[in-house]
Amino acid sequence: MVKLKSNDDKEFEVEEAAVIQSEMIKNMIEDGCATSVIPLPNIDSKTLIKVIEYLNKHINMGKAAETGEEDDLKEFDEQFVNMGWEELFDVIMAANYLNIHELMELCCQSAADRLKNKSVRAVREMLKITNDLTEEEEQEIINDAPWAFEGPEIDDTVN
Amino acid sequence: MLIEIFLRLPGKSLVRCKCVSKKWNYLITSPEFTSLRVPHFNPAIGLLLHCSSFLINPFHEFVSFSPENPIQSPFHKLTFVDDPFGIRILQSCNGLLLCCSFRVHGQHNQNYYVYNPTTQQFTTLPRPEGQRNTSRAVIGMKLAFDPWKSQNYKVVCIRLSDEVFPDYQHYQIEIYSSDTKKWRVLGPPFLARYDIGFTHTGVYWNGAIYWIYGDNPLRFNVEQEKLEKFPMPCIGRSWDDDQEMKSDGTEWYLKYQVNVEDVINTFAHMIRHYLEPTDWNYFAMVVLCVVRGEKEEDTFMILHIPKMIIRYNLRDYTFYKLCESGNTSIEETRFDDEDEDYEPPITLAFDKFSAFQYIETLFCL
Repeated sequence: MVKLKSNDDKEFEVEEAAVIQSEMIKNMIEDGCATSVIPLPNIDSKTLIKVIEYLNKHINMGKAAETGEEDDLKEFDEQFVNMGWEELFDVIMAANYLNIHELMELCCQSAADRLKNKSVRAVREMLKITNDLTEEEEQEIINDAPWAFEGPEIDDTVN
Repeated sequence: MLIEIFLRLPGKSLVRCKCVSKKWNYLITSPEFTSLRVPHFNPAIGLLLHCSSFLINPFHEFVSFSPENPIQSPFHKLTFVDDPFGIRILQSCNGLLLCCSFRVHGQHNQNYYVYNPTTQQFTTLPRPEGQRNTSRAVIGMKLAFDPWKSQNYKVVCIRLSDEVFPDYQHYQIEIYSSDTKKWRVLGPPFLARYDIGFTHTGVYWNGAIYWIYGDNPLRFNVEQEKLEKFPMPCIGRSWDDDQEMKSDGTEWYLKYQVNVEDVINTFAHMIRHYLEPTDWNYFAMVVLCVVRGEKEEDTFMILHIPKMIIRYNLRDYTFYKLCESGNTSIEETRFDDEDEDYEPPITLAFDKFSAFQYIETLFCL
């Protein structure tokens, strides 16, 4: 078992087989630096719980393929990324810090899928971004590539 | 983190995201991001199928390769320029399309265009002038564009010269380069058999254009501007084989073996019962294209059988129907006093010359 500590001082025990999906922790264990608790100053407990849930589910990836549980895993992944933007960004940051390639891929792809085909207005609203471009700057971007701003697939809804 | 997400967005959405805020615009236009974004491998995501009849200008059916994540058809009719004769696609090359006027009386009115369907930009090529005495009609045009090698593209034009020999003909090569925007006559005319197939065949691959037709295949190395012969594959025993050339272009090897029996068992309507089973055309099926995947095991073929387009995975021999297609363009002849036993011939709407891969590229024309 490996002990992880979130930045709000909560400790979590994770099986070594699960936790070594994180390249960072795997390297630490290999270098013998994981004898006691591993502090994770960038990750809060709420996010860490999500990450551990993912690691535990994916621990038996190889076995899943053999026993036909692949669909199960796919379903889990779909459910897993069903979270708010803020939470998703937190998990991406954690995945990036811990260097968990598959989780990074899953979450970034989910973010990209949500932004795909959205109108500029919808993207700003979804991510609560204030437009700080001047009207001229905006017009210039549009004039450079008018094709990108028209089309039946562009979706102005926010969800 | 945003960069990781931007990298996974399709081109059109990405360009639109520049308008979200200063920071986003800065990130997306930065050279660091652009160099990350040029994918080391850019797979085709769909197929454009040319349809036409005697009455209407050509249009295209679009087949998305991924039914789970379908892509919008980039266009139905080519209308980027108002060509009174309509426009047709001649070739698809790493995301750019070489197009020309569709129905033209006389070579001289024919326009050639290079079109990027992703950005909807186009260039009208100037007409090759040729040398007054040697070259005449345009026999073939080929586009050579490889974004991993160069940010310029070239167009190779084959013209027919006036001198006529039995079985052989004189051809002249001219080259257009997008950086000079000019045509240039290359070397003296050369002799080749009249059935070399310059008009309809010709594939750009790995820096050269390959014409495989008849017994004397030729390739034109676009960088070295050299025309040379190359060996032909010994075409195997049946159409179950698919051969590939080694990347140095010297040798062929058997790459995939395909078993079409399962396809035939599943889609029995492709059997032409009115033919002898030994007939080469007993099964109504054509390979429209082979699409390279990023990994070997992702490579697949697109097959066309009557009324359907099938995706056939070359690694595990699985296949499934991508869409129903080819219903509309078949002009079925009907007779009112038709004999009840009359079986209409089983026809295919497309062949490999009417299929063009759609690859997304943000290359600016």
